[in-house]
Amino acid sequence: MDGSLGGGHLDTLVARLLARWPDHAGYIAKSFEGRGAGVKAVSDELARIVLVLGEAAQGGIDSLIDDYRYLCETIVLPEELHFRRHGTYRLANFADAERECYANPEFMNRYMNGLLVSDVMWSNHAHAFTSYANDYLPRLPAGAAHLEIGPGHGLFLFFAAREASIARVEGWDVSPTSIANTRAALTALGVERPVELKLANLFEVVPGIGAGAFDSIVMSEILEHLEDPVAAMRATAGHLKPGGHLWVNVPANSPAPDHIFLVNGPDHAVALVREAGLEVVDSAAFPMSGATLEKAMKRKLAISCVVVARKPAAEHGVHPR
Amino acid sequence: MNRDELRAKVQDILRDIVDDDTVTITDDTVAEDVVDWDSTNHVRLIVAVEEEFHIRFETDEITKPESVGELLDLIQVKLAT
Repeated sequence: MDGSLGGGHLDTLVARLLARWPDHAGYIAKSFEGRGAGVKAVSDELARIVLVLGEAAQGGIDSLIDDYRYLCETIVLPEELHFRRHGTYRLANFADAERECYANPEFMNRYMNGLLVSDVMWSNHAHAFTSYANDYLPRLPAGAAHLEIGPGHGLFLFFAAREASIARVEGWDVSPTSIANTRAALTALGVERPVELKLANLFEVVPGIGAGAFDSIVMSEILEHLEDPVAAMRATAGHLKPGGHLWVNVPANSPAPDHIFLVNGPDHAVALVREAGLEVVDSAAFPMSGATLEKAMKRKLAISCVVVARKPAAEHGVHPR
Repeated sequence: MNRDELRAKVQDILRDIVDDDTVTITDDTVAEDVVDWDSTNHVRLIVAVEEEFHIRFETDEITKPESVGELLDLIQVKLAT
């Protein structure tokens, strides 16, 4: 590939990637074609983070790149085939995803590493992340308490921790392994301010956390892993202050071995958020690399659907006359 | 169906998949020669070929053909069995 992609870290990471996987050059060229300056800047920062985490990883950055290739070529292919043949995801319940994926640490490690690199390489992931970093976080009120449900590789929490105006940053996960991975990532990235990571289930009472404790909650690529995403968002809304915001990122038409709830497009994502009793403030849709939104809708290609919602300031219909 | 007829059918399917009626294929054509023939569209092509010819590919067969010619060979083997 000729020329700079728009940043030193980006150029370094892509050069390392293409040295191991030259045939991916065409995809990468398409993926970076439509990225504006803001997305390129965030992509460059994400590339820096991937390089730092790669240094800390067993096997170095090359192992992350190999896991990314494994994700693209091996993990997704049978799922894509099932989706194209039947119009559904292969699995539909959490127990099967648990058995096939979550209970297999070696597989999950490769899968998560691959997804980490995809945040830079896949256009829809980079665009969705940029909307969070550039549009959502800076608009949170000063002194905000911010929570991420399922922080995974820790990138979203890392960006939140850099916002001086956010007073409190917290992450919850039901998996001790995930919590440990997030903590290791934040440490490797040099986060010094306190970021509380809790083994917590959003459907249950969380010790030390009263109802409505947060001004902001993030759920990125969580809903598609759940049998009942509306119930999950209702439970999440219980942890928001009245007027607090929820930032949701859910992929549509995106088959993967642990995706069990099919969102069929941006309108469906918005409808789910409304069904959970939240007010939709804003929404955006980012098609997969190389596709326009129109083309992605027509061909049922992957689209990252971002919805920003607000918990109503007061319950409707309870005001005394 | 002879090889030319088969190739013409696959060309029609590929044109529909990539939304480009100008695409022309030969046995030597590879995915990189066709704009939009990416991994997702390759799977869409395979499934459309399955439906057209009432055949079924194994998962490990999907990425095996490295050219149109090799894909046509595979289809012909399946049609003959």
